[in-house]
Amino acid sequence: MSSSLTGKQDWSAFSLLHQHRASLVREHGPSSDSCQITSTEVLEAIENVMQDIVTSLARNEAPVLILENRSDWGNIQFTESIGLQMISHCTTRKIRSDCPKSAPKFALILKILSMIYKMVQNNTYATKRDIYYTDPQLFGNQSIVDNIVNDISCMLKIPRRSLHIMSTTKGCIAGNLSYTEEDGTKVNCTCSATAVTVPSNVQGIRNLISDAKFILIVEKDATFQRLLDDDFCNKLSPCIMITGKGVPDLNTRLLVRKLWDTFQTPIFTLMDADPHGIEIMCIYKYGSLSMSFEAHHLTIPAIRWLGLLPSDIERLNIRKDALIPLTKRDQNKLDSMQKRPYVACQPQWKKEMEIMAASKMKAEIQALTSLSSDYLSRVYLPNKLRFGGWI
Amino acid sequence: MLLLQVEEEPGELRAACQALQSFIHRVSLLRPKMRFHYCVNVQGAISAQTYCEPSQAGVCVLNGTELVADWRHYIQPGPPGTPVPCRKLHPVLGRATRLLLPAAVAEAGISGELSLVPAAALCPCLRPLPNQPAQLNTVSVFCYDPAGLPLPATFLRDPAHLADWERHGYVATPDPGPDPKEGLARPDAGYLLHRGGGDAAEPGAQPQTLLLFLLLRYADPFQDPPVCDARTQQVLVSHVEQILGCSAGAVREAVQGVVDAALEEDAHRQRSQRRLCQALPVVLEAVSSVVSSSTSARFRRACLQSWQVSDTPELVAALSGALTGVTRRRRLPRSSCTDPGPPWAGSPPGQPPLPEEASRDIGTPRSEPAGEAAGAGPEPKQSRRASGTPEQGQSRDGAGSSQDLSQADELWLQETRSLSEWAS
Repeated sequence: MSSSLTGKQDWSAFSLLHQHRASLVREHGPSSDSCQITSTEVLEAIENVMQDIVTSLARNEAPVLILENRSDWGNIQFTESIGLQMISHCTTRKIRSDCPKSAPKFALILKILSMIYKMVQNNTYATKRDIYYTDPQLFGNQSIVDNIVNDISCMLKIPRRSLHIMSTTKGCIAGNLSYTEEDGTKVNCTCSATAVTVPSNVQGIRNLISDAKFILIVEKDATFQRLLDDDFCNKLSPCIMITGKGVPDLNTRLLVRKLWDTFQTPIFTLMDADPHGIEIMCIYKYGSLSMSFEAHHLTIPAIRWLGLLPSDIERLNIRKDALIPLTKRDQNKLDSMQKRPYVACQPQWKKEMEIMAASKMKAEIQALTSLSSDYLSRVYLPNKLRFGGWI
Repeated sequence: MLLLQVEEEPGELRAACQALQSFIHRVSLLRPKMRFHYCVNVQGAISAQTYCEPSQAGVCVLNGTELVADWRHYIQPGPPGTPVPCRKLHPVLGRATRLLLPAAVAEAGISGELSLVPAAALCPCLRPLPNQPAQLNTVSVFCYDPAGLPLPATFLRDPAHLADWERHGYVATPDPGPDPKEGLARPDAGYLLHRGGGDAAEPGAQPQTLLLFLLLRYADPFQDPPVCDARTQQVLVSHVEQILGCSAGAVREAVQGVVDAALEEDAHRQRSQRRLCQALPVVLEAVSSVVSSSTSARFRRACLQSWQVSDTPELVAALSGALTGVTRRRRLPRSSCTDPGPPWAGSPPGQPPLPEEASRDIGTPRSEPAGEAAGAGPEPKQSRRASGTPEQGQSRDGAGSSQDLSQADELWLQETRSLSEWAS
């Protein structure tokens, strides 16, 4: 599948990286592609919902929809191989059609189901934004549509893409990667002077080609652009850089997962040394609470934390004035994260969080510029990768 | 027992009997533990009625005063099949409001404190049927003097004296001639409510009446016991127009509070109805869209067969009626009516009412506020005095002193004498 693209770096000194890759392949093995759900199956699932409503009315009973409580930690279990996923017998809630509080949601779920039904029949796609704008007055606001789409996906056990609802893409990718989109468009991320937007139909891309030795997930767009400006992808070529510009959208997560499934290349994260950065890294690695029902298609437990580690702050003797005190909100978030199930199996992460909690300080990646303007791309990242500075 | 022998024209006699019966009925509403027998023998034709509330469950307590809470005393039942899911009133109780005594009353030697305790309830209670459309169209005002006897006043006939009805989107007009309905307690004033803006009532809406109870309380700290004696009673009754007129602002403010609280329930029901009305067509449209566009013979056949219809338009028509029907018939558990109802009028959210103002349905478990510290309010002195009223009630039940009994009898006779005046 892969063929050689351009490269400058002598990788013989990166033995730890090679060993890491070999161990990942041993541990995780080649991942099977997620099974595709056919249009007929989607249509049948929606018809079953509608039929239940019709028959319950025929029995003179008010129709109800049963939704699983997606955002309840009690319904989530953690496994190291998958991350956060919903338990099989989770608690549910009833959305009644005859209760004034829940009737609007009941109606909107059916409305969106009927829209999905038509899109699947006609083989057309829409974003959640498109759905909202079909009747903004009815839907009220975008977050209501977003929430209902996730509820439907969870209720029907069908991924969003199979419901013909595309997610809006904000992520960018650059480096040693080329692929063909579903419509035949060839994309070469190496040639582009700027980053390429993550495709909106990740499942549809094919012919992925890369010789990347590693994939670097960058939390923030500003850092991503700075690394592009510093020609990082060429200096440490071949590699792939990707950013979700903060909390990643679904397509960015799907693409990272697709890259992992295809190449089993080591994936590292470059985040701010703050609770928010750790949270974002956890979403890539273990998944989010609200999307735990799709964990099998989204999480990548092989991801490693490369930087910026709280312990790096003292090790690199970063100036105090480049650090920021933790706010009360930061401290609360840090406390709650330390209680999460996945922290127990990550003693080194826990230690880093304890360092952050003890210092009561956080640092953005830009704090490294206090050492030198190109310290990140010239020294920090190459050394981390060479000497195995990930956890 | 009171026996009267009269020789009157039949027409006058009938009016007098009706007035007497109405009076007894009204009095019995505040004395649920007493048994009132009304019996008239007109040339051998006997008309008899007994008023009492045998069950404590049919009683609610308003600031120490018991009130018969069975809706059948206040409104007529609807046509057969009309749902009345709860037989009980759930009044909202207002704060005791001090009334000014006009000079004429003071000059008559009355030196105590007079206060008004308002309460309001929607009747019938439709809480167990939250989706049943309702139409509030009448108001009935029941005013009682400190002795618990009906206190009609011209002041009450003007709806603007009691509340700003437009605040809730209503236009209130005096009910020009509310005929005394057989078996119903006769109010001291009645109003008709119309929705402003020409909003039409939903078909099948259940008519509701707002019941307003205005309870006057009197306490004189310089009297022992500090209760309303017959002379004071007479002075207050004869000056009721002046008293209410003198404190018109305070009366309106007090009544407005309970009206607001009671009508909030009405407004909440209407908001809920609107939400349902907006949701149901969306549900229908979504179901019919999927059914009509489906190419699955299995799915379409299952839907059509479950309703025994032959095509999608027939199915949609059937679903429309069924969805509206099951939604309207939604019934909450009966226990939904045993809660204390909306927050107390005038009390900030979360703040418990004063102990003296505590109202609860008898038999409903409820922790009582402990001690007087919990009752620290703006008028603690007045509130403490008001709590003496149940003692007065006790004496009227026969448990008090003979002096109290004679006072009560005197009041009774006095009120009986003024029956014809009240009936007019």
